[in-house]
Amino acid sequence: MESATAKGAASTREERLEKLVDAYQRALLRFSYAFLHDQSLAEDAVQETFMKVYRALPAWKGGSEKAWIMKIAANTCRDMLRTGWFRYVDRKAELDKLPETPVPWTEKDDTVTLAVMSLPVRMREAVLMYYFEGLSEAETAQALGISRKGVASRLRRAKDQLRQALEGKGCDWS
Amino acid sequence: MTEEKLRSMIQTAMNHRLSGLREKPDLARQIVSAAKGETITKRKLPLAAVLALILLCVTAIAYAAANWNVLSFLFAQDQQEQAAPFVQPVHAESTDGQVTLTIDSALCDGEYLAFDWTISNSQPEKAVYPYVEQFTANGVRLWTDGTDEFDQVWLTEGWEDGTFTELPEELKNTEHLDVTLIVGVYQPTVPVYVLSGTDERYPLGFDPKLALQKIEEGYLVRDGFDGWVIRDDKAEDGISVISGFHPQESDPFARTELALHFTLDVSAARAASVPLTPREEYRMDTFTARYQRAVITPIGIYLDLLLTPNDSENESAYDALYAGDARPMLTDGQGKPLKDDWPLTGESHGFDPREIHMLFPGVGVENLPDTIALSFVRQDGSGTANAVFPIEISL
Repeated sequence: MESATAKGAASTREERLEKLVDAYQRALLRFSYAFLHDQSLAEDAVQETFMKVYRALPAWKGGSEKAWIMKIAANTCRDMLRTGWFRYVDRKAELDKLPETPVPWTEKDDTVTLAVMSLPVRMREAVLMYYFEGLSEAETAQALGISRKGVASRLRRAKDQLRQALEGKGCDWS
Repeated sequence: MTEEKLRSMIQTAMNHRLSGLREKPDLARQIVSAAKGETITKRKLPLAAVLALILLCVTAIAYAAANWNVLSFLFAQDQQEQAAPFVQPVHAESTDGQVTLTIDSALCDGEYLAFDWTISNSQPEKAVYPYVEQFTANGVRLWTDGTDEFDQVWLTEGWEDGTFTELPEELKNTEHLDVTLIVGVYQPTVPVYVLSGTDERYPLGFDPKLALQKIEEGYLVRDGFDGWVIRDDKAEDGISVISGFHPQESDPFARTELALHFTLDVSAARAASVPLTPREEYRMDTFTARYQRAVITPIGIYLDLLLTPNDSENESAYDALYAGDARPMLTDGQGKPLKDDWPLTGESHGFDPREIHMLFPGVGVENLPDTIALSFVRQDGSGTANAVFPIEISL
């Protein structure tokens, strides 16, 4: 009886993971790439994130699923930035090595993406969560583990930098 | 630009530009397999990248003796040679039986102090809360940049990193540094309950009622981030989150201590430093620039530039300087970049268009032309310098 219950719970957990992977893998991959500037590392980060999600699923009490997963992803990316060998990797933001895209992109898309990827880490993660992933200010604060005031401050400074990077480069800032 | 417009612009651009990144169709199955003890797919690096990394690692080992040390913390592999002779072994270790903190080596050039550290927790299931209680050199308090630190977080397994901190002015002329690092390690003395889940109504993202209930049940309630929750009758929800604070005696922790001490001789590195002599000022159309620091040390070349508007009312005094997404780079006297490395400092100072603090690591005087400059080089592909602030090197 005990093992039947455990088996049933495990099955549910696997199904939940599958749904989460379906729902968030693409977004997490793009988030992680913009964070880490490296496709292989981004793929590793996504894999590691879902591994942590799978382990944590039984303890999850509900709420904003996306914010919870983004928090795990951000922590995973930060941990990867901390590793010693990451220092040997070229950290510059570049998009030339990406695989061919299935949808056409414009020069403006390239400029905006590079501008976001070139932000300092603390601003970058806030921008990725708030503007790119569409989390609310409160969700971003939760995912980053900082106050809402902290989020607002980071976004304000990030917006300043983005404006300087994008204004006059084919991006209408008005 | 409205928030919605900016959000739309970023989402459109990134979803188009990053659409080539491919999802793994069987990722969920791989995760479940790995969780059940089967092998998970490891990182697939292209062969060339693998070979390059192997080469880098082999070379790094030659420099770094296979250990995490201050060189590997501070520099890229090709930047280490100049500083290597000035690295001083520390080999300090302190442990309380569960948490161990080690420092392998340190480097100080009279401007900045750098050392590696490795912290580990032999019982990851028992997270501890380390707090740096003393970080001094010659009795003077030192500060860290507040990132990548091991204190004021819940430490599970641990990690390796390092500290890179500017010396206070009163220490910049000393020959010896006696560095002391004392870390209080706080172990919860009651059962721990880690909050997870979210409640959109609550800005901290967890259910305050649940937190309060667990406190009442005698748990130390972690907020799921870097702090913990206490009962606070004055607060609307009856709780407050403690984050970034030194645990008090009334908090349910047992304290153990890690203490590390090492002495550095700064004289050799200081003697090897070469002060540069910039012009007194560089007057431009709308602002005036002055170098506040220009020196080459074993760590690299420090160039600090202060900009002052010629007309204090002119809010666009620096627009031309930063046009074309220009950023400060180390160049020759004509504005041609000498190195395209990321500076060690610069970003950490935040973005203030008037104060530029740059440290280009691993740059030695022997590799420089007769004239160098901090130049604002456009990042729009043109490579044009908006402004050049030259320094003639006369040794």
